Amino acid sequence: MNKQAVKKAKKIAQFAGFGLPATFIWVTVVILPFIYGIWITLTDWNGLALDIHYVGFANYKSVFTDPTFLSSFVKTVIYAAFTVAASNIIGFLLALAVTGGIKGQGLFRAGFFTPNIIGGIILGYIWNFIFSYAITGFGKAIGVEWMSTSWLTHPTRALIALILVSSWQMSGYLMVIYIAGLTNVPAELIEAAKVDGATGWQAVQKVKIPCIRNTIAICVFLSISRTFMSFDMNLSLTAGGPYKSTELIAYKIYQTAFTSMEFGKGQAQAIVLFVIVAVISLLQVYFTRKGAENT
Amino acid sequence: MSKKNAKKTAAFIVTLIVLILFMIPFFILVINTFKTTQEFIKTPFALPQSPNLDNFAVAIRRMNFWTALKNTAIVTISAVLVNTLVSAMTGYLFARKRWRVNKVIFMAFLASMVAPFQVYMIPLVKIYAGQLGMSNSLAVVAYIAVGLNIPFAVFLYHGFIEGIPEDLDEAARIDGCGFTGTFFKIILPLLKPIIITVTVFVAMGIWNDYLMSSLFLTKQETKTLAIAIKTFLTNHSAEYAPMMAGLLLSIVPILIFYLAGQKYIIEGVVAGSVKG
Amino acid sequence: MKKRLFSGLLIAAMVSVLFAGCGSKPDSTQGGGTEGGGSEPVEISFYTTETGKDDYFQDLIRDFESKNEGITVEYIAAGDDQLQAWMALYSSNEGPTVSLMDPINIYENQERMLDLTGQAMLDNVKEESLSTLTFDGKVYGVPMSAAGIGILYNKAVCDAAVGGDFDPSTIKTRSDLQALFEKIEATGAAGTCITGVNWSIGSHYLCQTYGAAIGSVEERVAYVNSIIAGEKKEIDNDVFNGYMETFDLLARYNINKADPLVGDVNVDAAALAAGECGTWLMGDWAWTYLAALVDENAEFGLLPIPHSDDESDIVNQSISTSYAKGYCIDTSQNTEAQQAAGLKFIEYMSSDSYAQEQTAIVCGQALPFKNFAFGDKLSPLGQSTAEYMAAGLATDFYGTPNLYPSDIWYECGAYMCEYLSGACDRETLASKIDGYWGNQEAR
Repeated sequence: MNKQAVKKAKKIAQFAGFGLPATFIWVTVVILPFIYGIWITLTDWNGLALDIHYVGFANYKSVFTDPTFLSSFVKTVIYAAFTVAASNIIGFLLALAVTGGIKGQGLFRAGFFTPNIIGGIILGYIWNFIFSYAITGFGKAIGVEWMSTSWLTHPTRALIALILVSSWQMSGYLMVIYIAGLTNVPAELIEAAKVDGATGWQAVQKVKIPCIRNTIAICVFLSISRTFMSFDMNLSLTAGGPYKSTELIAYKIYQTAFTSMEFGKGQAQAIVLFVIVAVISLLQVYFTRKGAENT
Repeated sequence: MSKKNAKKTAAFIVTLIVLILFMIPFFILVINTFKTTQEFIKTPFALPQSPNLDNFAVAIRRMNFWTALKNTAIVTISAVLVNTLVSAMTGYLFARKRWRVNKVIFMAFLASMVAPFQVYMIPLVKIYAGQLGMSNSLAVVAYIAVGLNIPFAVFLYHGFIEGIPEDLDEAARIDGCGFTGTFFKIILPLLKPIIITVTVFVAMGIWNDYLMSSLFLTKQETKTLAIAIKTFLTNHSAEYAPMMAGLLLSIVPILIFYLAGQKYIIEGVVAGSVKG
Repeated sequence: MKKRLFSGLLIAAMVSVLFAGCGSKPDSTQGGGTEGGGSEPVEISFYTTETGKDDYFQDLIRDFESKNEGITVEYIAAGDDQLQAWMALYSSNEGPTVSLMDPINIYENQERMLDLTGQAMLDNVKEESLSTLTFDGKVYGVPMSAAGIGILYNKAVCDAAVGGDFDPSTIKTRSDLQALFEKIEATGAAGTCITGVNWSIGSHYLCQTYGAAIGSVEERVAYVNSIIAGEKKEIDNDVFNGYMETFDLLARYNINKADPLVGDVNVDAAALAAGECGTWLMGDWAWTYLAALVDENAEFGLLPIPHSDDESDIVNQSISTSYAKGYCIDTSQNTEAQQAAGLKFIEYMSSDSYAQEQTAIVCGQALPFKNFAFGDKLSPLGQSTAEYMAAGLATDFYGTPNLYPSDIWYECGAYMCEYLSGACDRETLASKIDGYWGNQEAR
C-alpha cells in the first residue's frame, strides 16, 4: 500500500517536472483560446461588433450547405495528395544525396533549405514572374502552346503551379528531418548489408527505410498538416485565382472571416476542417506506428 | 575504386544541378536587390545594369532595421531556449512512460497541430492583449511562440527518443541515475542532431512569423523584422527592390545559424557520438 | 573540448542577449486617457489602411504634434490585411482613436464611431464628398481624397493616333472610344489595357453598373435592393448591358488579350508609359506606379468610361470619383479627451496647409477641401480628376456607404475575371452576380 503511494507520488512528481511545464504553456496558449474560438462558432459575431448573439448551430449548417466549401475542399485534397507525395519523395532523395558523403554537404543542405527561409509575398511574386514571363518567354521561343500563356491564368495549370512551388518549398524542409533520421541509422548495419553484397539502392531499401519508419511517419504527418493549412503560398502565388479556381480551403476560410466579415461562419468552417484533418492525420500516425510495431 | 569515384562524381553533379534548380528564385532575389523597382519589373531575370547598394540603405532606414533585428532576436532566442528545454523533457517523458495521461496529451498535441491558427487567433488576442493588457510585450509574444511550437517539438523529440534503445536508460539506472539524471546525463547529449533540427525549425518559424506577432506588436519600437518589412507594401503593389533587400538582410542571420548548426550535426556524426 | 567551448560560448551569448532584451523591454504602460482639460497630455493612436506611406504619415504626425502640444500620436499601419489588423486592435482593447478606413467598414461599425455632424471642421469639406460617409443623416467620417476612376491615356500615343492634338472631351460615346482604339491600333500600339485583377474589374469596373447611369442615389439603392430581392435580373438591365458592351470593347483592344488574367499593375503601367498601349482602365492612383517610368514632358490624363452611344448623356462624359478612405473616430475604447484630440488630428489632416500640400504631393489625388490651394502639386492624373470635378463632370462612385458589400471585389471580381478570360458568357456572368446579391441583406 505504502509502496504504491510512493510510486504514485513519484509518478506525479515525474509528470510535474517533465510534462507539466509544456502542457501548461500549451493549454494556456492553444486550448483556452481554442475553446473560446469554438464558442464564437455558435454566434453571429463579425469580429468587431459590440454585441454577440448566440445562433446555435446555424454556422455549421451553412458550412454543409455551401457547395463552394465542398469544391474548395476537394481541390485541397488533390493539392495535398500530390504535394505530400512529391515533397516526401524529393525530400528523402535529397537527404540521401547529402548524407552520402559527397563534397560540400553543408552547403548543399543549406541550399536546399533556403526556399523555406524566404517566404511571404516576395517569393510568391518571384514565382509569379517565373510562371508569367520566364516560362511563357521560353514557351513562345520554342513554340509550345501550353507554355506560351501564363500557368497562373489557367485553372488546372495554376493548381499544378501551386503544387510544384509547394513541393519545391516543402521538400527542403522535410529533407532536414530525413537527414536527422538517416544520420541516426547505425553505420554498422549499412556496412553489414554491403558485406552481404547489397548494392547502394538495396541498402537504402532494406536497411535505411525500415530504420527511419518513425521519421517517415513524422514527415508525412507534417506534410499533411501543412498542406491542408496552406495559406501563405496560396495567397502570394495565385491569391485563389484565376477566378477562385485555386482557392484552397484555408484561404477560403480566411476570406470568409476577414473579407466577407462572417467571422462566426469562417470559424465554423475552420472547425470542420480541423476535425477532418485531425482524423486523417491521426489515423495516418496510428497506422504507421502500428506498422512499425509489426515489423 | 575508380568506379566508386566516378559514381560519387556523378552523384555530386546531379545534386549540383538539382541545387541550382532549387536556388533559382533565391538567385533572382539576390540579383534584384541591386536594381531599382522599375528595373526589376522590366527585367526581373537580367543582371543589374548599374548595381548599387541603395536598396539596403533604404531597407535599413525604413524598416528601423536594427531595432527590429533586436526585437526578433529577443523573441526568437528566448522562445527557442524555453521551448527546447520543456519540449525535450516532455518528449522524453512521453517516450519512456506510456501512461494513459501521457498518451492522451500526446494525441491532443498532435491534433492541435492541425488546428487552423485562425480559430484561436482572435481569442488569443482577446485574452492576452484585451483581458491581461499585454499587447506590445515581447515577452508575451515569446511565451505564445513557445506554446504554439510545443506540439511540433515534442512530436519530433518523442519520435527521436523512441529510437534510442531503452537499454541505455536501464544501464544508467543500474549505475544509480534517477529519471532526471538519466535524461540530463545520458539522453540529452544524444539528442544533439534532433535538438539542432528542431531548433532550426522553431527558430525559423518564429523568426519569420508575421501573423501572430503582428497581432500583438503594433508599436514602431516593438516591431519584428517580419512586421517591419510590410512597410514596403503599398495598396495593390509593393516597392519590391528595397523589400527584397530587406528580406535578404532579415534571413542572413537564420541562414548562418542553420549552416553552423548543420556543421555541428555532421561533426557529431563523424565523432560517432550518435548511435541508434 | 573545442566543441564544449563553442557550445558554452553559444549559450552564454544567448543568455546575455536574453537579459539585455529583458532590461530594455519597452514599457507597455498605456498613457493618455486623462480626462479633462486640453492642457493635459493625451496619447492617441492613428490606424491607416492606406499602406506604403509610412514616411508621409509619420512626417505629418510630427508636424501635428509640434502644432498641438500635449498630444502624441502613435502610428499604426495596416500590414497584409486591413480588417484583420483592425479586429486585433479592437480585441486588444486598443481600438485606434482615429482610423482611416473604407466607408463600408465605418458603416458596419458605426456603433463604435463618433458622430461628426455639426463639427466646425466639416464646413471645410465639400458637400458632395460627404454622402459616402453619411449614414441616416449623420456624418461619421471625413474623406482623405477623391480618387478618379476611368481610362488613363498616354497623350503622345493618342496625338499620333488622331494626327494632331488629342482632345479627351471628344470621347463622348462608346463608338468614339472604339474609333480612338482603332486609330491607336493603326499606329502599331494596342488600343487599351485591362489589368485582369479582381479589385480592378470586380470592384471599380463592375460597380460602375450601379453608378450614376442608374440615376440618383435613391434610385441606385432601389435598383440594388431589387436585385437582392430577386425582383430584377442584371441581364435585363440596360445599364449593366451597356457597361458590359464597353467592357467587351476594351477586352477586344486589350494589350493583354492573349492572356487577359496575367494582370500586374506594374507591368501594365510600364506598357502605358512606354506607349505600347494607348490607354489603360485604371484610376488616378496609378500615378504611383507610373511616376518613376514616364518621361518628364509626357502627358497623361483620364477619360470617362462611356456606357452607351448617347452623346447627350452626361454620365458618358463624367468620370466617377471614389471617396474610398475616410477618417473616423472611435468612442468605444477611447476617452473623451482622446476623442477630442482625434478631432483635432482629423481637422489637421483635412485643413492644415502643410498637411494638404504633402497629401497633394504624396497621394497626388484631388482633395475635397474648400481651402485646398495646391492643385498644381497634384499628379497629372490627379489634376485631370480635379478638372472633371471643377467642370461638374464627376459622379459619385459610392453615393452611400453601404451600397457595395465589403467582399464584392473578391466574389464578383472572380466572376468578372472568369468572364474576361472567356470562360463564361454574359448571361452566366449576370446570373452569378444575381446570385451574389441574393445572399446580401437589403441595403
